[in-house]
Amino acid sequence: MWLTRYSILEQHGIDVKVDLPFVGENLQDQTTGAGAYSSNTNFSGTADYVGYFNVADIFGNGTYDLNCTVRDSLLQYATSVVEASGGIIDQKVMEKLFMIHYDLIFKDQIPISEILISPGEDQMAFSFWGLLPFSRGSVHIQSNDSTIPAAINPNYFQLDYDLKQQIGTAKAVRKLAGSEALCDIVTGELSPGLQSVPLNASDEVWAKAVKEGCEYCAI
Amino acid sequence: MRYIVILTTTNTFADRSNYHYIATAAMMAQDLGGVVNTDLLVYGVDNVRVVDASVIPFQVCGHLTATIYAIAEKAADAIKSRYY
Repeated sequence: MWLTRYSILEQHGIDVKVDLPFVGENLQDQTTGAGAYSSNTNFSGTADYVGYFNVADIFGNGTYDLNCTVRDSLLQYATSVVEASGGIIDQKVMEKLFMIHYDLIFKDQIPISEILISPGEDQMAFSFWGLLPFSRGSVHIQSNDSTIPAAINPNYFQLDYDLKQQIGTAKAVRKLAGSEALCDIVTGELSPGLQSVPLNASDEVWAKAVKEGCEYCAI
Repeated sequence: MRYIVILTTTNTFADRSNYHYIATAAMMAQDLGGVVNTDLLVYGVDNVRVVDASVIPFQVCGHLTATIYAIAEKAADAIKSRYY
């Protein structure tokens, strides 16, 4: 049984029984990063702590402007995704899906960021995720031989909201690590470090840091 | 949580995959590009279901695993109600 879109099946000489062009499209994955902080305390065992943050938590007074920017970008976001799919996805459909997505972030204000603190030996890791990316990737077969791996394109940071979400989350990590509650046990920042990302760093500098080493980002 | 240890020891701030790929066989109306219906049955096919993260149409806030367990339970109920 093969499920993917007609043109790809045809290309690999596979008889098409049902044409479901959306199969393999619409792929969404969350972007991941990890800050590291030195600590004066040794923590043993597993004791992870997780926090979730909505758009107002992350962007504060900037939430209103971001809301307007994203709302005004939705049609262009949809067009970008339609074009990246080679026209397989319908513009009106994508606009509708992105309106739902936008409402989740700005109206319902469900969490857009996750931060997981993992205390360890003389260090604390702050893993973080931007949870609700607009970017859409794809997964498709590359052969009619099922042992050949599929081509996966997560398309990270295809759309600019996603980078803002990840930068906002990364900044929240630094704020959390420097908070009063943790200042007695957190002694310094190992990663990204103040040399590569100074305290007053611009979003361009943060962008470079959160994308560093990214193999699967949209170009 | 092995991967976190690795990231900590190399002090890498870099982005990586979260390996939480979803939505490539989404449970949605077919005219929205959906691939499976609310019983996880693939449109246009009598008896093929997709039961994994690919049916989730939008990312969830938090880890996917609990949601996938719930989908699997729902799939089991749908299959049982069809045959028993």
